[in-house]
Amino acid sequence: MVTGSELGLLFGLGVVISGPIWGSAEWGVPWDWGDLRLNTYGLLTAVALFLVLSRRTQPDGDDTRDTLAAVGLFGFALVPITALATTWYQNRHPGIVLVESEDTGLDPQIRMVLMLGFVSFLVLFVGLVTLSGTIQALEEELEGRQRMLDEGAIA
Amino acid sequence: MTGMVEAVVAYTLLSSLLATYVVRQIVLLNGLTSKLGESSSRGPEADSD
Repeated sequence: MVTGSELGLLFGLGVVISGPIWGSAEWGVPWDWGDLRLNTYGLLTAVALFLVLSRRTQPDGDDTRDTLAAVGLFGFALVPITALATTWYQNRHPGIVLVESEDTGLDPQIRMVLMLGFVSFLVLFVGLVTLSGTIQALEEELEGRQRMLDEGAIA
Repeated sequence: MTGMVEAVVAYTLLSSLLATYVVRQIVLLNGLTSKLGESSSRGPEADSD
């Protein structure tokens, strides 16, 4: 959950910060409150922020874990809604352009750039997941050793 | 050239965000590795005490 929420926040912030700059130049407005995709994505990033901050500030226990899991599930449900938002409701964002049809399709050069960007970000994502997983494994090992030391001191 | 300034600002912010996160993770990893190293080297001493 830690890896998912941290990386969700990182990539979400990337979109939420750079998106309005691009939107301001292209659409003339940084944020359109009538666009479904913008709002569900913003909400998804807010869920990731809530999970990251709560995980760090709240005491670890069953109640905290249950609450965070429920909020995490809400975020999980937002993912397909965000993905399909432009199909259901088009306002600012265009529909799916990758699938070739009479109304859609991409210039081959732009498609190549898009694929290159996708692969690059995929490699970055896998690297960050591995790094985060390693950090968590080390944290758990350190906590385990600390617990053993404490138990030894009590005994 | 429309949007050039915006593109530069956006990519600068994105790069800074990613770089900050990666550096933070590497610093965290370094700190944990050295703590575990210290803990391993103290282990035998604690046992002999």
